[in-house]
Amino acid sequence: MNGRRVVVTGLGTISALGLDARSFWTALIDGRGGIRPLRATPTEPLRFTNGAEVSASFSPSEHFEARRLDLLDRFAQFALMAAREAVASSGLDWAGGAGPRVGVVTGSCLGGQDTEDQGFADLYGAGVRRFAPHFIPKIMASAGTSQISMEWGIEGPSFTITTACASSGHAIGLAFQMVRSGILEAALAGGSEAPFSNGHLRAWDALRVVSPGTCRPFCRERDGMILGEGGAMLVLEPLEAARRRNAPIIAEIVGFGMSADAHHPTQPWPPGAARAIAACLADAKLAPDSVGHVNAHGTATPSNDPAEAQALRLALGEVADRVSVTSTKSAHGHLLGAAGAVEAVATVLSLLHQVAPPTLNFGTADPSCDLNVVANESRPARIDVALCNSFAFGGLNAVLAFRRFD
Amino acid sequence: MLEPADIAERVLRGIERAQHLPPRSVTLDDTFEELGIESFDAIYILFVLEDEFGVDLPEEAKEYRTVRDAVDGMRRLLEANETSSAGREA
Repeated sequence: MNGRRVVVTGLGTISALGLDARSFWTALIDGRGGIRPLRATPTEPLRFTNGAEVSASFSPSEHFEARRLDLLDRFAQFALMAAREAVASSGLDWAGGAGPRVGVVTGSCLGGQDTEDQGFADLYGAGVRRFAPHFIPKIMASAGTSQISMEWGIEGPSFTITTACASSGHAIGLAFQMVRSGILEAALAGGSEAPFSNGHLRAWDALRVVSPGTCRPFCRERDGMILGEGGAMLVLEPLEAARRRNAPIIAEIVGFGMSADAHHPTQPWPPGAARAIAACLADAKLAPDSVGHVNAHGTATPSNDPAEAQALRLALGEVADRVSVTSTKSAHGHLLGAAGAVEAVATVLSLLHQVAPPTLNFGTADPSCDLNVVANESRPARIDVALCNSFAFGGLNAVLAFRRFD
Repeated sequence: MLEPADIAERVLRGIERAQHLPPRSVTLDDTFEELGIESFDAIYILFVLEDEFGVDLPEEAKEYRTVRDAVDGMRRLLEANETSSAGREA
């Protein structure tokens, strides 16, 4: 794909690993996971009790004034928190309004489902007569994008993508394409999710894919995923613009590949995922042997992990034997619509610091997931190119490629 | 029947609650525009007042543009309800 080179000049994240990117990265490479017993809601009669929640020390009223908070579901709060950190870290001055050459693209599966869940409980359960008028703008899945655009006067093409667990992978990829092609001079891209309402957890329980224990990707002992909440955002700019203003350049984004499995509502399909990986490498004009690290989708379900191992083998050939593989979901949980974004943050920080983060809770190696997994402890390494995989329910796949920037 | 002063007091405090304004900051002379009340804020205030007084506000309530409009409208409505229920009892 021809076009301008695009770099990451800012990032932000709020998750179970901390309220900002610095705490996120420190916890990640120290192997301190954020999966704990759930506080948000009682877990009886669920089969699982753990989740990766943002710390209780996060107090929304410290960050948003009361009238604005009436309009912000938790998922939108996370979008704004991550965006604020990303914009601040980029050094971009949007005080006068970012204008029509800047856009924001977010990913979210559920939007304001927490507000919606409570609203329906009030309506159907408690017989409350009506909703507050704020309800609709609060629950819409695009609220993160709209609120971010309002905060900085972002007037360019802006939207929200929803592709299940690949939502923010697609969001970052599409923002990348718009910056590369010149539609945008800068983009905020990422995602946010707040899944911890009782109703939503009951639905996950019925699917029987959440672990009753913890998240143990790629090993024999894996028995399911762990849900997480939070938000993550990247600032993307053309390389030339970043250089002109002496911006901090964290990494380069070099490729984006997509595919659909056309296979199953929840089961992955290795050839479909492999096509997305191959498309990403082709887009980046890179050969498989340039890949040094993979931030895997790695949900730790019995079916995802071997399928992902097969997909990597199909796309990378024997390079799959040696490329280091990490699932950071073992630390921050599965953020659903925000997974691609938080994992992209982990990936670019891995390139910046030249350290592969660990896959936590790794027990015994499983031959069906025969990969070079970074098990339990982080691994300093020379990494030039890293992939970030998102393989979603419904077979929608998004793969991003990032390169170290010197 | 509520005293006019009570009605005014509860309307003012209801608006403060709905808009997260400091206690005793809203006065009878304030306009909605001065208080930064936009269209769906206004709807929310009407809901808060309906719940506060246990009444259904008529369509004309959508035309309120000042705090005084809301206080006067609420007093008229409560008087009318009082009259009609007294009529039914008689």
